[in-house]
Amino acid sequence: MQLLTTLDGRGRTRRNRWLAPLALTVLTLPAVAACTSTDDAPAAPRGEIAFGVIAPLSGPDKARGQDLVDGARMAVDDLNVRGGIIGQHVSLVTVDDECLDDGGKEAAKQLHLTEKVAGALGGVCDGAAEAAARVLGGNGLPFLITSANSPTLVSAEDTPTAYLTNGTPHQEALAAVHWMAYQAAQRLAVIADDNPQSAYLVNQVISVASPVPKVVSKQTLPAGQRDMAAAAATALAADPDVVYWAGPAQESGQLAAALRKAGYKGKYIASAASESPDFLSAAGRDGAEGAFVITTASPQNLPAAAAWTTRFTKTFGHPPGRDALQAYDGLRALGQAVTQTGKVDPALNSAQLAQLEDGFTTFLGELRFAPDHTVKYDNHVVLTVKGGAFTLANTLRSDDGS
Amino acid sequence: MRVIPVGRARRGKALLRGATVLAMAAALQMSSVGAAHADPSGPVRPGTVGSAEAEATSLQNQADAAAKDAARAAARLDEAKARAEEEAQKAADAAATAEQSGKISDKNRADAAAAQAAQASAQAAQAQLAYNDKAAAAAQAAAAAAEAATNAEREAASLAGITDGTATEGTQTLPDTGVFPDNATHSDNVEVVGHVRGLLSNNGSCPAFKATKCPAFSSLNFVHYEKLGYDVMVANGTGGLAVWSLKDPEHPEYIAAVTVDQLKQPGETMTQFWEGENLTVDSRRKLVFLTRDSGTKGLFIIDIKDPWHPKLLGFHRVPLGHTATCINDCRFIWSVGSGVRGVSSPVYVTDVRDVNHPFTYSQAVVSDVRRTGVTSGSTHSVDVDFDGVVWVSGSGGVRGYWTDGKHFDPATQTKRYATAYDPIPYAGGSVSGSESAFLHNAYRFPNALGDRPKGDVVLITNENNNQNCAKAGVFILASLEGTHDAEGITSTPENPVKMTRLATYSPGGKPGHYVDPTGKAGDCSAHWFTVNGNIVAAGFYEQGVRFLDISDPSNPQQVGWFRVPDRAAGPDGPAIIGSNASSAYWHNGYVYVPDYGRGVDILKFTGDIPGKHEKKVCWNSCEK
Repeated sequence: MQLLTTLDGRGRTRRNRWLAPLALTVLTLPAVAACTSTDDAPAAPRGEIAFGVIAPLSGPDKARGQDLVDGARMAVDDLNVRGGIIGQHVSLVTVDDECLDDGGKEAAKQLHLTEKVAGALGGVCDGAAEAAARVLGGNGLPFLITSANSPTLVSAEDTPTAYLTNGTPHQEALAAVHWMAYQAAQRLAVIADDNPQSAYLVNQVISVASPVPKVVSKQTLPAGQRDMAAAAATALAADPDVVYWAGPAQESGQLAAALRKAGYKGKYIASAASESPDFLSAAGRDGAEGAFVITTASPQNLPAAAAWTTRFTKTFGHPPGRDALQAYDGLRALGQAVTQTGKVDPALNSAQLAQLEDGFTTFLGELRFAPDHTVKYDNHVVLTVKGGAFTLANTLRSDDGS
Repeated sequence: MRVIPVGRARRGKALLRGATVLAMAAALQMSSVGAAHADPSGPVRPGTVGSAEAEATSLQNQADAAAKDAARAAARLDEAKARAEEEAQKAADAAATAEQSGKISDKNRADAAAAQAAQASAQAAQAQLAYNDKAAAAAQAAAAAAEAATNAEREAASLAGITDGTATEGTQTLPDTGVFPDNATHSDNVEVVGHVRGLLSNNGSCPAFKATKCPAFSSLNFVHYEKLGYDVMVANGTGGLAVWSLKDPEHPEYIAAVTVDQLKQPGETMTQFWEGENLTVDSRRKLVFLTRDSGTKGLFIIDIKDPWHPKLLGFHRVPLGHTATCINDCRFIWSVGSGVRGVSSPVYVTDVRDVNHPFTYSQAVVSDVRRTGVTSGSTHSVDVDFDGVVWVSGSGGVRGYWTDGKHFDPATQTKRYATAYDPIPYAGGSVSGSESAFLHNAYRFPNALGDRPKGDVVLITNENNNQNCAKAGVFILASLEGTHDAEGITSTPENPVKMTRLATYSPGGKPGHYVDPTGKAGDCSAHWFTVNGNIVAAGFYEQGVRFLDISDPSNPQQVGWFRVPDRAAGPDGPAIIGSNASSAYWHNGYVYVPDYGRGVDILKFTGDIPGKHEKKVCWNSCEK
């Protein structure tokens, strides 16, 4: 499943961009959380520390919203098993933003009015997340945007208490280029479909790649003209040692197959959408084998999250998606900020988010934020196809020895 | 730069009207953009955005000139064609007249007209050939210009954040507690013109050699502010980062600091910053990178667009942190030090093109400075030379690498692009007679020196802290001959690949040599240095600063010296801490001396400076 997106010149998505939400992730919705939004401000149980969850709990994105809520709930359960935070029980207050700008704004207002809410997380859709970030910033409440990933959602000036925990499209390009360096790439051919998102990504890759690998060929395939054999031939005429594709999974698979059929022995690297069975089937075994995909970490592609995924599935009756994984770490980070200050103080806790101690880690390692409030070390990872299946090749962290 | 080959216009192609010339050139250019087998352009030396843009401008000018040539050729072609047609018509008319009249005179005129027509036709054909050449050249130049423009755009985009810095002079001045060293001893050709103290550590002890006299600074660097029209000096030491305005270069004004408390990371109890001996900066983006070697190693990234108000952008872990150096126009940083085992002379590479999201490659580059593959020992310094070769110094050797541009790779026997993470070895290795020495830092001299050819001599310091100059580390001059990688990759006992030691220098017994009667002080080891013309200015710890003339690389001569003795407070004045010089930096006619105990002394060398004077002194990242 790929969400429809629109993109402006700065790579900002209208909606959240999980380029390759796993087709195998089928969410089974449990009952909606007890504390969903109402006309009245919800109340957290007294004597507890509460965290707000802003997510689409109705409408077409409600499955993702529920996944996000379940991830946060699992973190709450894990914290409470360990005695809560600063000795207090932790609870959730969930609010439906309906993936709408106004919904995000209203959700944030409700959380601000809710007693004991120490911070919030969530935000699947850009507009809703940005609206919530501005309201919560004005009110000084810490907010981790865990799913939406446009870098323009946050800034030190406009949303001083909000941070992105999900890698941005620019960071996907950085990840691709870093992996090209690992592969000692010299000559790069880039091919993209005519989607603005793909165009943004390849332009970022080309810019970040300078001065090496040298771009020897660039193609944009117009809609309806997806002759992958011709595209492969054009790319190979430039004698690349790495081919980068940004676009849908099926075309990616066809391109990978065409490249191999034409005798190409170099590396094939594709954008996140290619983490899909459609890629594998279109590429065929020979075409897919050894291909790399730059995507975000998920419960399914991260071996370190396997036990957590099993536990989650057992608890909620469905496997977790990326939203759940992000929300799980996001809620723990909010809790860590409170732990570090020793009290619920929104201003102090917001500042602590930028200074999480080394002892706090996610499945990928340390969580740090950049001065522009994007995530400093993002969640893009490299997958490779081995034996017809996706396997984690590298987490793109400094301590990854693979 | 390489030019994308363009299919040359075929001779004898049908004549074109002048107005179509540029359109044809443009069409040829378009067809060339996608040329498949051309080597792409790119910097063959450390490419700067400025040089890429200059190249693009130059090639555009050439393309414009070539287009004008083509247009002129087209005009000449049109004229020649018109004349040929006219003469052909005249010849035809004359032939008809002759045919009709049958007169000899008419036939003669017809023959003459035919000859003129033939000549005009030949001239038109010549004009066609000339035009074809000019049009092809114009198309080729246009393609090259377009390629260079694209390259320049990519260069600029890959290094976002270039800035001239603030245009507003700050008003903040911090108290500077320095005491001018009126007791300094020095040669006649050295003047002491200034002294600043800057930031003090909140910890009275430090691991510098003269521990009780710490802390102060281990290294300096300079950043130019285009809009202010002067430089700022930055220094790092146990107290953190200190910043001075060099509006008055003899009397720097202490304007800002980033203290240890500000550098502390969550949960840390750091009481002093240690240490960053080879402070690296990015003048174009106005960034300072402090490298930390104690506790959690890594880089502090500090934005000094407004040097009166430095901003700490964050700390980034790197497995090695003793020194760090910007390479490839500060797109990347090479970090070295000790603590990583199992790798031969490890170097960690950090991509800092996006300083908000720095990225360190998890696998170290193996610099193998001894060229034997041995994994013991450590790396200590990375220094870029005038040609962009990046030199790694460490236990037992010094070795240079290309990290940019296209070069022959002796390992693969192919020509390829060198990168920061996949460099190409250039030359170097151990120095004969100093095989087991700890080689501290290095600089390949850019010009011919004595009987040594251009680029052959490498200047190296060996650090070995000892009061006995006969045992302490020395300054080494070595020849690279025989160590270039085409001449051998690995050094073995049977086939040694080593630099030849030309000479060494030690302050022992030279003017200014200090011998502590108690035997507790007087460290004589060589440390950091910079070069101006043929004069080396070098820090020698408690022996102060030494000026060496290396015009004869086999026989370096001390030509100047500077040292501050200890002085207790008394009738002669306040207490003065004695020299413990870390380095000496030539900069705009002065020599700035960061000192582990004293702060920064500012000297002027008034002696002769033989040799070629480069526009800028080159050390560390060799920013030009």
